[in-house]
Amino acid sequence: MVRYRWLTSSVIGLGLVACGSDSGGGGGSGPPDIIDVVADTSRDGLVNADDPKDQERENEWDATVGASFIANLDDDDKDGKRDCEDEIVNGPADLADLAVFKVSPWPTAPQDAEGVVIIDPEAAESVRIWRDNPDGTQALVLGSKGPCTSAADCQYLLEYRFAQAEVLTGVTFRIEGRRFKGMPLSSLIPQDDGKKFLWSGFVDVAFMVAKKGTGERYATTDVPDGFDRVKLRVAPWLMLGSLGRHDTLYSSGFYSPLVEGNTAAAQAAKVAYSPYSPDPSDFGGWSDIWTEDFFQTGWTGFPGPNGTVQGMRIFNPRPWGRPPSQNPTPEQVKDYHPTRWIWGNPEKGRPAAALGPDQGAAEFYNPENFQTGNTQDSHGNHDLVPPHKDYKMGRILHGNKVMQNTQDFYTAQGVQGPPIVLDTTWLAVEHVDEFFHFVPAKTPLGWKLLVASPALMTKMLQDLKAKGQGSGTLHQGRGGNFQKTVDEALADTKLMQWSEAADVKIQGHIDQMKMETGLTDADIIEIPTWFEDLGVNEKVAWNPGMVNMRMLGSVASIAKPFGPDVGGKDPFEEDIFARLGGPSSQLGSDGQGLKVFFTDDWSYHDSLGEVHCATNESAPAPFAAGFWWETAK
Amino acid sequence: MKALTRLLGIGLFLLAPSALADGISVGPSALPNEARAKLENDIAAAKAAQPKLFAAVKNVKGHRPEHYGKNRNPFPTAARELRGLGPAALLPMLEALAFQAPDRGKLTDAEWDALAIGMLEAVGVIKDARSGAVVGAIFEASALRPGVRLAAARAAGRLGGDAELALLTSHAKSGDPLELHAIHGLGEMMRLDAAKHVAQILGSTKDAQVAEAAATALGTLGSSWAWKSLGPKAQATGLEVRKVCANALAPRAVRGKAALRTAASEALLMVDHPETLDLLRAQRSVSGTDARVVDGLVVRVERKRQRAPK
Repeated sequence: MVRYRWLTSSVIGLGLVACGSDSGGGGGSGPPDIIDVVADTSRDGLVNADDPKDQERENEWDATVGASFIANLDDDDKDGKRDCEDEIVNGPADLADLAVFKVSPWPTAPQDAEGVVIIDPEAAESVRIWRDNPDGTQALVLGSKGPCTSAADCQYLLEYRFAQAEVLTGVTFRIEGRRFKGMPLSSLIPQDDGKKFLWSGFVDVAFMVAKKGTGERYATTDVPDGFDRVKLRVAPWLMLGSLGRHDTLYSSGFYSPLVEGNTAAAQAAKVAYSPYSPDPSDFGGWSDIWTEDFFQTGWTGFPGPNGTVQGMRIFNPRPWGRPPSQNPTPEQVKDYHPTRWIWGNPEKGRPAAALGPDQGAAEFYNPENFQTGNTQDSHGNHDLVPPHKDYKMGRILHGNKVMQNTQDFYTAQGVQGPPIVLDTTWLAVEHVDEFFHFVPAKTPLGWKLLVASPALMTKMLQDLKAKGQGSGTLHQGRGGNFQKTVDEALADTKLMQWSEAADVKIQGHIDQMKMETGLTDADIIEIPTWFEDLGVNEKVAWNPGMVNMRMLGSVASIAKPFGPDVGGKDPFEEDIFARLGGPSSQLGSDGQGLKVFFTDDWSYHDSLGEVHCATNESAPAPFAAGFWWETAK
Repeated sequence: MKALTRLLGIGLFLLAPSALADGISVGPSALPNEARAKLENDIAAAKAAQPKLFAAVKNVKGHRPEHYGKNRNPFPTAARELRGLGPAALLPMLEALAFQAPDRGKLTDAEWDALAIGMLEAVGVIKDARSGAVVGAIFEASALRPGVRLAAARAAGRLGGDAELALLTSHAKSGDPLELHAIHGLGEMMRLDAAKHVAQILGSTKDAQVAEAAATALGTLGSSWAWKSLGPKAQATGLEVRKVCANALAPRAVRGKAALRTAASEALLMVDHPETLDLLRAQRSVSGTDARVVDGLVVRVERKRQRAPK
C-alpha cells in the first residue's frame, strides 16, 4: 500500500498511534507520512515505490501481479556449498539471485520511531533475508539463521527492528528461498493428518513503524492498522524437456560409438559435450552409464529487468544410485548415489558435475526415501509435454509407479502439473521415453509427438519382402536374438504377437495424450519399432529404439537401426531421413526438418536402453519463451 | 518377475522350504521313465557332439548381478540371451532344468529363478515335443516359486501338443490352485480347442482375476499378427480361433469393471477379427452397456485397421 497521508483523526484501535499525533513527524500540510514496503509486484524486474503497479495489489498474487524470488540452490562462489546453505551473500552473481523488497524512506519519521519487518513463521523456515548495510555489505536479519542442516542447528528470525535513522532513509532487503514449494526439509513439522508439512511457497512480509519502547505502532489513513504488507512467492521448479534451448550434452564415455555419434550431433547443434569416464576412480568419472536416468534438469527464475529472467538451471537426482555390489556398505551407497555426481565429494576428490555458478541442485524426495524407489523413478520416465492448451510452460508426463514424493512435488509446483500419468508397467524398463518423444515443429502447436510404432515396423518389413528383400538381414552380426532375415522376422510368431500387444498399448497412450493435450493425428509421427518380451509384461524394443532419441535444438541423435543392406543403404535410415529430415515433416525450428545423426548405441540397446537413456542435457537462461508467473498456477 | 505378484498368493502354498532337485527346477525322477531315458540319451549324445552349446548355456550371464546390474532397469533376465542361442540349445537347457543344474554359487532366488524362467521361455519358443515331459513336470512340481511355474505353463502352451492341452485344461478350472497359471499357459496355445476352453472360462467365471487372465489369454492366442506370421495355410484356422476369441471378448470389453474392460478391450484389438465391429455394435442393445464405451472401442478398432499391416 502506498498513500502516505498520515492519520489526523484519533488513534485507530488499541496500541495504534496516529501519525503526527505526538512526537514529531510530518503532519499538517508537510510531507506525507510513509509506512511502506514494496516489492516487484509489477514483475518488471525493478522495485519502484513510485510505480503504482508495484504498489497496488502488492499483497496479492495472480496472473497479472505478484512478486517472486527463487530458491537459491546454485553455487556462485564455487565453495562446494549451495548458496542458500550459508549465511552470507556469495558475491555479485549471488546478489543478482536475491529478489529485492524495500522499506521506503519516511523522511519525517518521529524521533521515537522504530522500523519493524515481520515475516510469517511458515516462511521463516524456507527463506533467508538480508538487509543492505550502508557500507555495501549485507547482514542476515530474517528467516533461517545458522547452517540449518536440521531444525537443531537452525534459528528462525521472524522479526527485524531497525532504528529511526534508517526509517528516515529506508532499507533494502534481499530474499532467497532455501527450497521450492513442496520440497521437504529435515525440520518438517508433522501435521495432524500424518502428512509432512508442505510450505505454501508464499512469504507474507509486514512492515510497521513502532513507537520505541511502548509496543504501539503508527498508522496512517492508507495503512490504518499500522501494517503495510507485501506478498512474494517462491518460483517453481520447471522441467526443461526435449525442446529446451540446451547448451550442454552429457553422457558416459563408456561406449565409443555412442560418443562418436553424439560428438557429431553436438557439434552440429553447437552444444558442449565432454563425456565422463565410466571409471569412478578417474577424475570426474562415474560408473552409471544411464545418464538420462540418474538426474533431471530443470530451471527456476524470477523477473529480471528489461524482460529478462534471472535464474539458474537446477539438477535433481534420482532417489537411488547404483553401488558396485548387491550388498553395499553405507559408504558405497553414498558414494554411488547421484547426489555425489551432482554435488561432488571434496573429501574424495570428486568434482561437482552440476553444482556451480547458475547451476543449482536439489533433492525432491523426502530424506527417508534416499536410496529407495524403482525403475520408474529414473528420469527417462519423466518428461515434459511441450506447451499446449493452458499449460503454457508444458506439462509433466510420467509413468504410473513414480514415487509419491516426486509426484506430489511436481503437482505442488503448479505450473507444469498435475502430471499426465501413463501406465508403463507393460514395459521391462517402464519408461515413457521408450515410446514417446517430443520434437520441435513449425506448426500451430509448435511440436510433434514421435511414437514407437510396431504397426509401421511390420508394414516396412512386409514392404521389403514384397520388393524381394526378404532375405535381407536385420541386425547383422548382433547375435541370435537379433539377427534375422526379413522373412524370418515376419515369420516369428512371438515377435509379431508381442509387437501387436505393444501397438495396442501405445495406441491407448496416444488416446490418452489426445484427450489430455488436444493432439491430433497430424501432430503424430510414427517410428518403426518392434518389441520383444523378456517375461510377462516386460517388453522392450527389439530393434534399436529410434524414438528414444536425443534432441539438441533441431538436431537429433537417433539410434542406428542396423537394418538390412539394400543397394548399399539401410531402408530404415532412409525412411527416417525422408520423414523427419525434410520440409514435409514441418519439423525443426524452421520447419525444414530435423538434422538427423544416426548413433550406434548397440551396447546400450543390448542393455535395455537407447541414445536418450544414455545421454542428458541442460540449458541456460532464458529457459523458455514464456514467463511462468503469467500462468497463475 | 514384476508382473506376477497377483499369482504370488496362489503359488506360495506349494512352496517348500527347499527344492531338492538335480536340475534347476525338478529332478529326473519327476519325469516319466520313458521320456527321462530318451532325454538322457539325447543329452549325452548332444553333449558329446556339441559340448560348446552346453558351455554356452552354462555361461549365460543375464541373470548374474555383475551383468544385469548394468542394465537400464537392473533386474535379472536371461530370456533374450537364451532365445538367441536358438533350437540347438534345447537339450542343454532341458539338462539344466531337470537333470543337472549349473553351479548356483551365490545367486539369489530371484536370479536363480530368472535363469529357469529364461530357459522355459526359450524352450517354449523352440516348440520341440521332447520338452513336453520337462515342462509338464515343472508346471506341476510341488516346490516352485510362482514365476517359474507360470513360465512352465507358458512353455507348455507354446509347445501346443495334445498332452499340454490336456495338462493345462485339467488345471484351468475353478478351485484348482494352478488355475491362473494354466489359463495363461492356454493363452500361448494357438489352437481352436484352447481358445474354446478359455472363452468358456471368460463367459462363465465370476472371479475378476480369472476373467482378466482369460481375457488376456484370448488376446494372446488370438493375436491377428501372430496368426499372420504363420502364413496363408494357417489363416482359416486363425480366423476360426479369432472368431471364438472375439465373441467371448466383446461383451466383456463394454460392460463390467474397468480393469476387466481394459484387458478385454486390448485383447479384442489384438484379435481384430473381421466381425469385431458388428460384435461391438450388437452389444449396444444389451442391458448395462455404456454406448460411449462401445463407440470409443469402435473408433479404436477402425483406427487399428487403417494402420494395420497387410
